[in-house]
Amino acid sequence: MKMIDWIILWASILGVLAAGLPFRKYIKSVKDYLLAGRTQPWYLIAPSCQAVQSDVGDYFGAAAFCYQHGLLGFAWYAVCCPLSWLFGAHTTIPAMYRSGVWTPAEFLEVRFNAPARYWGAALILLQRLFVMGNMVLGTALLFKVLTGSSLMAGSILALGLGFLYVLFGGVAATVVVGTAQQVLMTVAAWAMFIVAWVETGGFPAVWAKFPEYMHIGFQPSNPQIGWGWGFLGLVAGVIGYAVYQAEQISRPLSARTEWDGRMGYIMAGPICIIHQAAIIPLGVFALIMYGVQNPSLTPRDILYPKMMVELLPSGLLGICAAGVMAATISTIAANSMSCAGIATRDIYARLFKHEATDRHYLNVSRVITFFWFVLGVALVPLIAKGGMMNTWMKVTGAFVAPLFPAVFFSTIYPRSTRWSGFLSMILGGLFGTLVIVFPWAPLTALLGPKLTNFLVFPFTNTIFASIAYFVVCEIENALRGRMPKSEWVGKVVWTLPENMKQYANTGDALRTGNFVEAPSNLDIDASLAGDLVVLKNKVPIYGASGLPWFKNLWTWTVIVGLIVLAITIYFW
Amino acid sequence: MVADTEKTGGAPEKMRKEEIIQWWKKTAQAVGSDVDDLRMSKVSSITMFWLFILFGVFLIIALPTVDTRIEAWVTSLSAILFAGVAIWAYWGWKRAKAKLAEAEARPAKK
Repeated sequence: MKMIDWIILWASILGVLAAGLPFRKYIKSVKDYLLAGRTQPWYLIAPSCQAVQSDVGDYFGAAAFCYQHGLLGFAWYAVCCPLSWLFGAHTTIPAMYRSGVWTPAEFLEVRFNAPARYWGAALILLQRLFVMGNMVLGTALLFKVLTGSSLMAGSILALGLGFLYVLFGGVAATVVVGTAQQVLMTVAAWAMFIVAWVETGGFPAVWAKFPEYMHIGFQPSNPQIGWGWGFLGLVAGVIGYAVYQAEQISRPLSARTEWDGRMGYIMAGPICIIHQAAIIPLGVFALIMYGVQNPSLTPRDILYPKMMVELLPSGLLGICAAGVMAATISTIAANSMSCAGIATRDIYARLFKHEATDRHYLNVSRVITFFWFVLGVALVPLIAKGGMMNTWMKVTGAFVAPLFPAVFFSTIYPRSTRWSGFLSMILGGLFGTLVIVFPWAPLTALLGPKLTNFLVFPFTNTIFASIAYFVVCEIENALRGRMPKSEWVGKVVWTLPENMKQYANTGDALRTGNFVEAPSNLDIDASLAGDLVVLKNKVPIYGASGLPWFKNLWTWTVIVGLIVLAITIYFW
Repeated sequence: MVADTEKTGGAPEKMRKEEIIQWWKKTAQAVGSDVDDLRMSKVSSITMFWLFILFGVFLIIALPTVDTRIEAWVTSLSAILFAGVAIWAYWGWKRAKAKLAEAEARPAKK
């Protein structure tokens, strides 16, 4: 790295830190500013979903995953993430929007019971903790490549910058820093992609020299699992992301109408494909540059920063490095604060101290934030050894995958029962522990090497937890009788609560003039309208019936689904 | 829903269609002229403008130090994209500034 890049790097970091200063006096109104009530249109929600999804792990970890497992890494973002958003758009989002809850943990309590909320929150926290570790490791790896420093020194530097960022009021400047780092990283990623394509010969060269790495369905790293199984495991691991991840779900729940939230989720997929298409293929281009499984690429996630240094021209390198730093420090702060919020609100305040002052909860939240930082650093050696995405797959397969059937089936299966969510998650977690964390020989022998492979295991555990879910439902229904309809109406997607019934006939309301139009930038009280259907920008605030074909959510679901299918078939 | 009730707190329980529309229009005007939000928007835009001017200037300074023709191309293209973002941010700042001036000139309604 040349002197000009160092100057750019540090000047840009100082610029990003200083960007927080003017925002400090507005910190009291930040919550309103970021959450934006229920006022956001779909075209703002879609890119913000991708912005929330993308962090350093989705650059460094994803490229390294692609280098190791071939285009399965590309399928992560071009197939699985869009599918996850499609699932969310037709299941949890309408159910949660109508229920008026704001977090998946809250929904688990409303649909199941309090233990489901605690355990669900704990699983979400566990997954976010590993994401935190990824981000700290990302910065540490960048510094290792740039200066030769140790991973621990880089991790401490990342955390130091994170603290400074909070101190300078950076959290209030998230809107600016978040947008700025996304633009920086996207421009730099496409610049890298172009240079890498020119230098290596791009896809045609990889097809010619390493054809086995150009498949979604086959992983040269694990040939014993056979065609398609790794893909199934990845789909099962990733598909729950947009269905239960709190920060992701908060985006469509801030929509001005249910339709906007769902449409934003559907359209997030194509944005993700365009954004990540510049990043992931670098993993297979690296095969031309370094050969297969080059031992000098240790830890494996060092690949992307190494390629940055080798491929990016002077100037862009400094800016891209600054973009990585900005992404890391802003996401470390936001992630630890949001996780501290979940831990305080969904676990501590519910289980340990029911009624305390705001100051008490704030102090608890601060202590948790501090420990979150420390835990994030403690995980760095573990994640560095296994690789960011591989570790994520193992943690998800072992513990988090059972969360998906519970949340998903609760929105489509009216016979779901109070204890089915918690018990299926616990049984799934136990099953994952006995296969992945502390393998129990009789169980692993029974399942065989294919189903216990870490790439396939999220699928195995999802199937196990789904079976457990239905078994618990039927036992509980037999013992206690079915849950009264009034308790699940509105939470199962094709049902509307009594006070929203008129929205089932939006088409009739439009024909007869039995509707009222509300300003689209206002978080309104719909009950004020009585039996009238409330429209915002020509769509109903609840439900999505009676709309023309080009506004029909299923039209766009089919279009995005076909794009995903075409990618899957082409790269299979 | 708690958030809804808070936003329109004080509204009569039953109203006719025209009254509802008038009520919402009035509330929307009050929300739309929220001075704090507009100030925040103005500060965001101008901060974004200066950040991207800074990044663009860095790229122009670094341009003579690049090694190959393709590197010069991607650097120039990136500088143009950054300039585009800076222009967009400047436009946002002008818009927020005008709205803020209008909101501040209006007598307080709360």
